Amino acid sequence: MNIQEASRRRSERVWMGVVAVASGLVFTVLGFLVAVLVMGAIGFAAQHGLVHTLLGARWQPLAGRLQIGLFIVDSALVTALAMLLALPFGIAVAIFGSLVAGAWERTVLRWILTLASAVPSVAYGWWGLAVVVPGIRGLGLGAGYGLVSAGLVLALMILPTFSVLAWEAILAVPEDWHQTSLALGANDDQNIIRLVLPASMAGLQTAFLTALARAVGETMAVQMVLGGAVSHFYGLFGPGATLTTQILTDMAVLPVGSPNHGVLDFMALVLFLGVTLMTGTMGRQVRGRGRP
Amino acid sequence: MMKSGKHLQRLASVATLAAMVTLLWVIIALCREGLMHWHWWVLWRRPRELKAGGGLGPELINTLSMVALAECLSLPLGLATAIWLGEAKLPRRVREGLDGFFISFQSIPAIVVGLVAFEVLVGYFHWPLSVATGTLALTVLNVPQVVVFSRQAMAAVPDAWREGSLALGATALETVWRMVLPASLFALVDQLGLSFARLAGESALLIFTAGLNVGPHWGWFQPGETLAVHLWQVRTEGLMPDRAALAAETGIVLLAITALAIFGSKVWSLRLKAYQSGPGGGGP
Repeated sequence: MNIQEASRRRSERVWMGVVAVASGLVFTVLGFLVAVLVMGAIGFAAQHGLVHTLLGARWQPLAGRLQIGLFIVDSALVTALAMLLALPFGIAVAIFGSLVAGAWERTVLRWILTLASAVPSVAYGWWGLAVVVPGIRGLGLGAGYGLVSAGLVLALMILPTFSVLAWEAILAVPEDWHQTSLALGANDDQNIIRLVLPASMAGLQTAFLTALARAVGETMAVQMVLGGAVSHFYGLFGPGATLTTQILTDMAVLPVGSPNHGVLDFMALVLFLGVTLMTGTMGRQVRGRGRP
Repeated sequence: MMKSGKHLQRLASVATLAAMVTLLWVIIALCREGLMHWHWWVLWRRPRELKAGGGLGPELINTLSMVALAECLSLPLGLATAIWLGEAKLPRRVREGLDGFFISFQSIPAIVVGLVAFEVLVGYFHWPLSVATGTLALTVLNVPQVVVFSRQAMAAVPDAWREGSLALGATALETVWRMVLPASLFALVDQLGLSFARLAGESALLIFTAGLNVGPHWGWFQPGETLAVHLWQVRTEGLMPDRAALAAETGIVLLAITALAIFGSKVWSLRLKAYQSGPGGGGP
């Protein structure tokens, strides 16, 4: 081994070390983040009781009544509403984009979806305040601030993400399969129902779960139109509060170091575990690549 | 025999049209409202809390500087982690587990990161609500995204190319540096624009880390309200008489930054790809 070769080996080791240290830092910070949440949440749950906190619906943070059941229900309702609305439209966009649209339409559609998926959530919230809230009020369905308004805004917000992922899932169906299906005499409807949707089901599920995770975690767009009622359930058109919006609201009410601050960690951990469960059930997106 | 059944396709076309019209409605309504009252001076004037005629100069500077700094911190860290994940001698199970860890972190609600950043930086280290706190929180939010998109971009480079490079005598890192990274650069640049746009639009994370005010001048520990936070604050609890117009104007500036970041990175990425493929050359 000559000197040049030895120095190459050494620089390889040094750089591998640099890369390892940088990723070690990343793992430490993210692990620390989870640890902070878990510690805070355990401290809180030990004091107030797990079941009591999760299933109760009384929220008076300054009086020490800290039960988050209502927020979980509201989070679930708003998210379910958003997904129910976004699902059919998202799949329609994916089918149109991959099977129906010509080159020109496809480009326009792609651009709109890309831009819309990057539009800030406060902009969707702004639209909710400007259009959805007055609209629902105009229909005589209450003040306009409420779970349904939040679900509508949220549905629109996750639609671009869901459509793009679903589109890619459908594109992954091999062209040969389409040809075979059509050659067997299937018409376009039968092709979609019997071939395209079943064949891309795994990808569609991934798209659905990704959009679901994003919907559950969204704060601002929901907060702006939700109304923020914490005391009891006012129905679908009535105001409410989700886990995310209530963390935001009560960061000022329960500052760090105050005795009941741990409930915020608890709520954040519930959110994080929920989202991890959703993404954890997804198929592998990035395939692990070993050394060749 | 039934004439071509195209009911589903027609249904999909109509639904797509409806969805696109509604999405464009959001963008156009905001632009219309903002352009009706547009004043160029909002770009440099300072905000006013109670009087009309305030601008968003400091918010604009905060947004651009914080997002740029957060990218500068999170890109090298995320890329290094992605390279390590690809090149370190890890059992297959461990590698897949770590990839899964980042994928679930990619969907972590921003408010959760914001809460922990608030507890640690503000609560424990007693940093003020400031540019520095907000930038670090944005960095933590962005790193998992960078790891995931870098892994995907690098995984798209064919294995045969890696084998060729190794067969020519290059080491693993030389292969990454001289071949894998250049070959996936266009994909990384493309994602960079989306990531910049996403951070610029972030608000939940910044309310309790960067704060709702701006300082007399830019500084690490000056309050660091950004455009997205400003839009939220003005629209929900603003007291200035021209708040409706100001919120929409803030929205326009924010949308312009978002669109420029995405469009710019797309153009750059396409040019890179064209340059790499070259006349007669082959790219991934």
